[in-house]
Amino acid sequence: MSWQSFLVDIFTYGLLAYSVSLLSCYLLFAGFSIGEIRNYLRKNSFTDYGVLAGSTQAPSISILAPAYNEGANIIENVRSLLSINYTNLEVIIINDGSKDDSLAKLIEAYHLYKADFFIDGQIETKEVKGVYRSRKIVYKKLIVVDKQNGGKADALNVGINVSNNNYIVCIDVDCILEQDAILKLAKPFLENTKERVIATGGVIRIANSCIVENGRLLKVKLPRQFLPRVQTLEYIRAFLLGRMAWSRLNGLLLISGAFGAFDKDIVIKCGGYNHKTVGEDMELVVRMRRYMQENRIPHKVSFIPDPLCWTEAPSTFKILGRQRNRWTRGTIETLQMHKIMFLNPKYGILGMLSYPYWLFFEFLAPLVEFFGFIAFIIFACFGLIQWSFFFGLLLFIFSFGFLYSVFAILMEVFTYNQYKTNKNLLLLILTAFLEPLIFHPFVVWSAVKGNIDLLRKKNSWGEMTRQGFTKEKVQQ
Amino acid sequence: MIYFEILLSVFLGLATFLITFLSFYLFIRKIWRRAYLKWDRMIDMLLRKAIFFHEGNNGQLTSIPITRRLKDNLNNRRFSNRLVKKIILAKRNVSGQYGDNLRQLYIQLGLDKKALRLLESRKWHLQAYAIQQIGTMGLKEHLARVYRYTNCKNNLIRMEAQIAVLNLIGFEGLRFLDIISYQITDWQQIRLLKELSTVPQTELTGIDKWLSSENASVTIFALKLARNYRRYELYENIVSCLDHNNPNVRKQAIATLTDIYVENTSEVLLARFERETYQNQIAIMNAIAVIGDVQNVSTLLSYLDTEKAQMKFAVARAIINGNKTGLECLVNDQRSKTYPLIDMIPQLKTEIR
Repeated sequence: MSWQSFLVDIFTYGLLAYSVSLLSCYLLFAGFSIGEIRNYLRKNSFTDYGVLAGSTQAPSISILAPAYNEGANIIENVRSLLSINYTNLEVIIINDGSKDDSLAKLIEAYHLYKADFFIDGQIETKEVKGVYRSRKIVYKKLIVVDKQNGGKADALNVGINVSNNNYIVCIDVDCILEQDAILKLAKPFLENTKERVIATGGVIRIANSCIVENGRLLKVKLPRQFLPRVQTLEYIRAFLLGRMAWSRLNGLLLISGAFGAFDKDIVIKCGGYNHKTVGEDMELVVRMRRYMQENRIPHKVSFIPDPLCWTEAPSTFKILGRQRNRWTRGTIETLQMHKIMFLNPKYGILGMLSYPYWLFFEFLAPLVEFFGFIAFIIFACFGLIQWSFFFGLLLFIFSFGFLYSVFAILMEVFTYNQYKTNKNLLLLILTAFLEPLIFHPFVVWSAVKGNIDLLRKKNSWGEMTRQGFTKEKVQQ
Repeated sequence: MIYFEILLSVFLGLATFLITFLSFYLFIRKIWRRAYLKWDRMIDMLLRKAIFFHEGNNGQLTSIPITRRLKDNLNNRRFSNRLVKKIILAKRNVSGQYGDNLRQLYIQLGLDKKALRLLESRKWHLQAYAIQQIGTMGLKEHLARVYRYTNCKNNLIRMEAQIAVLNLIGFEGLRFLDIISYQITDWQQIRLLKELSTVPQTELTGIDKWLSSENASVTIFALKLARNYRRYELYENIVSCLDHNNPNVRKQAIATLTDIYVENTSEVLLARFERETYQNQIAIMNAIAVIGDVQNVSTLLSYLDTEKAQMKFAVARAIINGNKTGLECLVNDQRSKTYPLIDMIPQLKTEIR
């Protein structure tokens, strides 16, 4: 055996071992998520959320919605938030130094005036220019904060400082919430007596092509365009299988920045959102969990499989690339900041399982895949491996990816079944078939670019242009 | 290479199997959906008939006429489940004679016996479902069996049993608080309070006993009961909870005293201020801001020396609302000319009651 073939063997079997470990994780996720979702649905069939909606004993919640240049839809979005059925609620809109007329529109539409408002600066932030409240009693839940531009994390920190309530729900202002979303998100905080629930997340779904009117989702539709549709499938897989499984293990490290609820007391003790990373959502959850572990406080990050929040997914490769690039940088930054947790038994399941998983299979997977692919092509070109072996390996990965997606579709049909018609399901299966050929390589490439950008110290968010939701056609 | 081929075949085979299974499931579901539509019409008609069913001449309920087709369908598990769900839903939305008629229908169809069989099931969700049915349908004859589950190890069964006993015997059902060894979650406390708000108001006794329960969650719940039902006669018992060793109990006691207070309640709370946790200190200040009646503002003014703005704000609010001269005292205090009080006072002025 020559040294070249020895190296190729090492590389090949190393990669094979890595792939098998990754696929085994996915199989375990599938198994865990089945049990977790089944238990949740059974328990949920006994739940009347109406009990919580009108109760004065319900936990007090502040919705924090940062807005930057959202003038086009801000009035509708705020109206949607104000219509949420929950007694102990305040809605805080943080105008993060918008260059458009967002603030003027809000002042006019909601009869706002600049109020005397003391802000307890428990978390350091950029300057707050003013706090606005409404003269109309009907909008008494609304607080609008005008501040200097400082990014999403800084805006959320201002919201935390302004908030008067015990729990905060951080959302993207353009998200569409289900009417009972806050009730469902609040319940886990009330259920545990042995562990303190420090954060709760829910399933986020793709709203492209759905019909939205006055900030409310009227009809769920499967996106017509390929990119949003493939992200629909991706979100089903990630939320229904991945996050549910991690929730069962109490090893969740991420609550999506688009919609999540947090125990404000712990958030403040941890210093709020970190504006030095573009992955502020994941970083906060990791820091909160780390704080709880270090102080030996039994805790839980809860996750519920109900679709609670609908958001618009990128529909062009350019925007999608920016998003995935940012996600990659955010993940790496968070892992770097908390590297002390890696395989550290002091951090329990987080250190021994969650962190290594994120390191090896979320951060490294795209790099391994990219460089492995290139290496195999080179090996095949130089005759070090057979082309049939190369294609065999590729088909093996492809078939597993397809199988996993089909399983996710099956879970979706058995549970929430949002895309009811057979045509939609067929489209989803077709999408699952095409995903590894078109979407996945692009996502891998964006992640590689994210790594390169991080090395170049690039830390911008990247512009996220949205197309807007589909509105119902007015009946003539 | 052969391994890849095998794995490839396995995965693609599994994917094909899943797709076939999915298609088969969708096909079956389509058939079920048609059946459900038919059944729903049948059940709705039956429920309408039952709700508006009149008593016989002698004042006794005669049996509600049931079609043969419906009787035949009762052996179908899916139909039976659907029927039970609809009866329960309807029963929750009607009361009086209409509710009694639905109960009569439930028993007449033998669904109570099915519920009792479910109660023997090994599956927790089926047991909980059976208990829920017994409670909603008001089957008082099975109270003893349900009561046994109010301290069950399984969360869901225990919670449903506690709700069911309240459904069956109202306030008297709260006697499970005497024996319960598990904690009552905040969620369950909200449910219990909601359930109690729907049962006829009868004499509520036992709160004094529960206020001194060894189970902290029972004490907290008793404090909520005292607050909701304005039990002023329990004032001294509530005050004694301020010395409980569990800070959550003390916090709830402070909240309860915000509603049930006498002349010197603010002083009672202030006397405990310094030995309280930070969160409870804030709660005390918030309570004083509501209750008022602070005799000596200087004690409150001394608490302004805290470093924490949140506490300073709460104390300032308590000073302003706690005494008629509060605002004047605060404004005249030198500290009010400096940050952060100088920023707090304008907001607090807008809040003066």
